[in-house]
Amino acid sequence: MARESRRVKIALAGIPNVGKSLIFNRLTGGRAWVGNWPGVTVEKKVGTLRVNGAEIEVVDLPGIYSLTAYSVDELIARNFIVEEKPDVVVCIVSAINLERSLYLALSLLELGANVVIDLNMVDLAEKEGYKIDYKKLEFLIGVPVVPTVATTGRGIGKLKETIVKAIHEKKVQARIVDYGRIVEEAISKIEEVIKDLAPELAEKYPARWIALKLLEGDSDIVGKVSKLPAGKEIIDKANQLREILGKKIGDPESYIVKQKYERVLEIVKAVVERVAVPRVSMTDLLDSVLTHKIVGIPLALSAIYLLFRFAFEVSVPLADLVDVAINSYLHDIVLGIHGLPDWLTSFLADGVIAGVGAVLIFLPIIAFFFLGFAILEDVGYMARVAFLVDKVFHKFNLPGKAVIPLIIGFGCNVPGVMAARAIEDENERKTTALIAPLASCNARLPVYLVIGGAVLGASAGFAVLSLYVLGIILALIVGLLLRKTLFKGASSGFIMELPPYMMPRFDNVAIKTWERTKRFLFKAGTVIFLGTVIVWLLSVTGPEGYLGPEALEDPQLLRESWAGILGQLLASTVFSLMGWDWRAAVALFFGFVAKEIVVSSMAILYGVGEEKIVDVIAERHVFTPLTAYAYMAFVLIYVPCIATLAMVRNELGLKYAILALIYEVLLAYIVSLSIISIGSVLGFR
Amino acid sequence: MPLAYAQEGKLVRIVAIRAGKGLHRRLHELGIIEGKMVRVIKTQGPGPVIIEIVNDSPYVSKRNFPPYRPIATGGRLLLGFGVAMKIMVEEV
Repeated sequence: MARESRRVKIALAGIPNVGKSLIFNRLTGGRAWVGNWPGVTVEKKVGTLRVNGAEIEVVDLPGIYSLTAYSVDELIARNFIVEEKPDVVVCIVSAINLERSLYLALSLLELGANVVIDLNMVDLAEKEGYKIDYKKLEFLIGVPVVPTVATTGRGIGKLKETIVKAIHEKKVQARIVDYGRIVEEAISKIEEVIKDLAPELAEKYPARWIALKLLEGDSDIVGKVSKLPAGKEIIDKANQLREILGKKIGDPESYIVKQKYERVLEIVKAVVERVAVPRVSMTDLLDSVLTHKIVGIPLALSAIYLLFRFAFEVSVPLADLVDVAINSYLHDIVLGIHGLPDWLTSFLADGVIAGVGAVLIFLPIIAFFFLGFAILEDVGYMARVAFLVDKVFHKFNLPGKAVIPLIIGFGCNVPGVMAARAIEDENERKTTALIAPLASCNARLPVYLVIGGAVLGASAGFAVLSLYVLGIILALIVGLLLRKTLFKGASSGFIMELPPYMMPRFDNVAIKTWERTKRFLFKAGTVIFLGTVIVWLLSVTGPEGYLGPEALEDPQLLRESWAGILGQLLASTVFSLMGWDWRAAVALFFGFVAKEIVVSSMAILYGVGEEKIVDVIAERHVFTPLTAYAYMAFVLIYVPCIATLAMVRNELGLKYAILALIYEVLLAYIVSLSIISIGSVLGFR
Repeated sequence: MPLAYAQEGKLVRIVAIRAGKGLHRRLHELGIIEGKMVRVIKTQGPGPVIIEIVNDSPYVSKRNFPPYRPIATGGRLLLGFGVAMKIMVEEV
């Protein structure tokens, strides 16, 4: 092996909520290459640590509790450690979550990793009135321990030094846990067999670790060993020992985990020392109200409502500015260029610039929505919301955590679908990704406002609110149906770390806001932009060929375009029961690209500017209140936008993107038709 | 009694875990082990719970600070309704 040419590489490991991403940023300066681990949609982050002129590659492992074969994240982590052999594995241990953190640390040591312990959040432990004797911890587990406070940067310099030192002084503590005479004897026997029959295996993995995994019956390792020439013999020996052990100590797997936990508790007991009377906990005070059985949910609804208000009010001036800059100023500049052919001017002005405008006008509101959300998340409130809704979500076979992709979806469905990644159970994750598009995103709101404002009068506000509720109810119902059919199977269990409330940190909030907004900007941006250009193309051409840009101004001419023909076809066939105008049907077709296009398309189709569209819809009686409400519901449900479908494909594959498309269109049709039929029976018009 | 039915603020002891192999191991690795004590911080009884794992013997207090309550160094966990139904507890 050409070891010289290999870059020095370290990995970061830790259980969820120990401040791992903050440590990553502190070590790498926040610059990271972000991608996926091969073959799975689990995020992989790689950065560079520069220290004393050396460049060290830093790989961020997924947040994990252990190194079993039960979870994809844990398999990724352990395969990385075994196969890529990072020079150092920094295990971040939370001082206020010592037991579970140390359990992972011991698991890493058993795997033979060269571990450095970063004892993080020591300031919070002090607030709780206890101290951790890190020197003693170092002595007990035999690897370096560095206390840090990632939020202030305390101890980070020392951590870097220790990492560099550890690269040259490899320490292996694979025997950190003593499992007792009976189990240890079995381990040594298997170890011997492995060393005799499969020395190549013993070179790659610590033999003791393989022996332990075989005793536990780890599916991945059993599979790997059975593929070896001597595999059967090793497995037989292990199974034989497992059986003997089973009679003496019960299930070996359970016994091994418990023993390891006992070891953790022993260490914790030895290193933790009370130094002060704990202060009254702010977290307990806040939680007594925020997670209260009765007032908790109303408070959560208020918080989300405030989030919306914040996003709208604050973004108005910026959105107006973008609107003027693009749709008036830039548009006029292009129209003012002389010497361009007509079609090119129209392509630039009505296709390209309108497309860019459609995306950019939503940028401020979406950015502020995600800013507010990131603050709520960073404070620790979103975990509480998951707790509050779990009882209801449980009835729909979904974990409480599924509420988070739905709330993000209120901002923009594209990052909403992606947020479903945080759900561990595969069936629940796929279901959540498929229902997240039913959350009414910011782009649908203008449609509700225009049509509701024109037709529904005083009850418009209530109608809009009801659509948000309808979206969530439908998401839950579809979720239940999916969980009963395609994604059957008991939940693997919703368990979540519940950290204390903390002050939001500027860099955390900024990074999260930017990451989600960026998804909207690039993912949605490119797709929506392309879509707008296609809409333009379908509007200025027809069966008779090129109609010229006048088609966009002249409703009669537009009727002759591909788009017009399609709309009339839709209005006279599938939508004939709905009583919608052909122009409204065309607008729906355009809305496939992005919901915000529905309003601008209607404006074009009625031959007026967007500012007058409300008056036109009201004066010409385009909708009755009933057909208007059905139309708004249709806009809510049918396909959020092409970008969201692209994201579903990205996360789940093409098959599920098609499924999402079909179910959403069908559901929209059924719901709208039901609104019209039930409404007319009840005497609404 | 399932943990989902335990009362807020009560200290309970885990007597059995009725879960499949994967979840069983996961719970063990989180420190939710038969015989251990757990304080129910929040519940929507019956429903999801927020718990704190309590260790039987309080940690040493060298400088004469009375251990008003055992030091919970375990952090808090949110267990969904489904999981909370699979953990059997008794009041202590």
